Amino acid sequence: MSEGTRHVETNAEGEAQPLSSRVALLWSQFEAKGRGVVRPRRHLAVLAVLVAIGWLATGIYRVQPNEQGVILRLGKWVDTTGPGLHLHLPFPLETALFPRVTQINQLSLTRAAPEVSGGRDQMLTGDENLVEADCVISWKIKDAGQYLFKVYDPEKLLGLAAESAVRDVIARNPIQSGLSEGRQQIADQITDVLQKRLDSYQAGILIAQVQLLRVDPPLAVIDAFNDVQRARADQERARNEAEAYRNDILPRARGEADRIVEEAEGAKTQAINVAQGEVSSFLALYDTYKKAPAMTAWRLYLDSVDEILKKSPRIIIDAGAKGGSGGVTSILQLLENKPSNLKQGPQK
Amino acid sequence: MTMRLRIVSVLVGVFVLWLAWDSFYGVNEMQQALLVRQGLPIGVVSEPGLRFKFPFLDTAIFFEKRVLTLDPATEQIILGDQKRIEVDTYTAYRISDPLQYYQSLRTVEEGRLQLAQIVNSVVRRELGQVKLSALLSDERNKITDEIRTEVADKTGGLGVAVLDVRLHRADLPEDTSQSIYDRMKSERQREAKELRAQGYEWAQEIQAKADHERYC
Repeated sequence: MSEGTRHVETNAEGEAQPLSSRVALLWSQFEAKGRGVVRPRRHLAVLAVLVAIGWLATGIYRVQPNEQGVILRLGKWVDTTGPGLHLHLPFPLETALFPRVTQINQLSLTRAAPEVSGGRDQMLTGDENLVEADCVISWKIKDAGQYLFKVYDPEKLLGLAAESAVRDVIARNPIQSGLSEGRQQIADQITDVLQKRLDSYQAGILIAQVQLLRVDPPLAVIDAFNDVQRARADQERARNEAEAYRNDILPRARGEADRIVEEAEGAKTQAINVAQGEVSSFLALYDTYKKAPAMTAWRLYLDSVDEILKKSPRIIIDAGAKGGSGGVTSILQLLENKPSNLKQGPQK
Repeated sequence: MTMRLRIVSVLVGVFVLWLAWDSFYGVNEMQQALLVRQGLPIGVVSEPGLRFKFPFLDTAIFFEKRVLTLDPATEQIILGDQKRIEVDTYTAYRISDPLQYYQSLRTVEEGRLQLAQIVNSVVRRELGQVKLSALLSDERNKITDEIRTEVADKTGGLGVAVLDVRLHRADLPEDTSQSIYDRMKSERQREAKELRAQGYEWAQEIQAKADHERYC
């Protein structure tokens, strides 16, 4: 072995020559000698060189664009390299680990068997109700060194911490906020709580996003929850209907009121006009009376009697009138003219 | 003669190699080591790298340096208000003192068992004093903090540093779920009734006002 290496040294006098030409030179010498005592030694030398090259080649490593190279020298973390082709001291002096630092990973907190009743993950809310929540957590490696060397099985710890954080936050909030408007807020709180915890473990993990996919009440009570939604709609409907009723009748009523007022105004003007007419006719009568009191009085008397007798059912016949039978005829004619008065006649 | 010499030299060579091999030990970034000389602990190595030891005399015992988790099975616990809940905890801890750990717990398995017992008893006692409503409020953090400090106190002599004890599940057992369901249902029914009645009330009020305006 030692002789073999010496041979290599003597043969590789031109040290400036590239390695490949040195190997070629060795090979040609080996070929030229043909069979001889030296042959196994040459063989060994070639082997040794190849092994050495192979050994050195273990130090070549490539870091993919989504990775970081973490170099360990005898188990100690000495360097972190970016993407590309690199060289480290050959194995076992240095080894490399390649955590995927830019990759965003997904952790899904969903129970495995949702079809089994009660198999879904139920959690208690702040007001002692139960909800089922599905949640997806996106995370990536924040610090490769911490991720690799500070926590044993970081993904398991992440899973436990995430489950705990989700429950902690859900347990602090009433059920309604998880079901409706507070969902984003809850997701943000979970992100906060989880990130703080992971930092306290130095897990080297960054929580990119927490998404609450589905937050539902348990299947057994979902009808009751839906009924609340329906009741809310019913409530709105009742109000809208009432407002529709109001909007329907009020303008009509206002219109009617206006009409009545207008009519009353008309009646008022009319009444005043009538009264004024009466006053002026009375005054005219008074003037006439003053000029000829006796005659006017007589005329008034006749008018009044005429008026009264018109209303009376009694028929007064002038017995002294000429043509007695003619009087009867005129009675009959009168009766025919006033049929309504005939019925009252016999009673009196 | 030469044959014998050859055998002897090979044997010596192997022995020397073995000796050389046994004089070194590597501690990597995730480990710490306890060096024991014939049963007597002589040192703790927590910095990674290649180390020397006396061959045959010294033994290096390796311990995990990273944060470990303990996730025992679900336990039923009775709370201060006599409600039963199912509790799952996890504990994040680290072996902080390999010597103490080795002396008091010997193996990792034994260590997990002991720690799980301590956590269990502390959780039982702490949760036995609180009400469910407290557990479902902002006090939850205070309670878990108390649990953690107490677990840390009790495990002080074991060479472990407890980073965190958390409830990652605290749920009612399956058989009480039904009564919760019933209560949730009745609450929702109440809410639905109230909403509908309020809708009726609004409608009546609006209609009555409208009628009033109409006739006055």
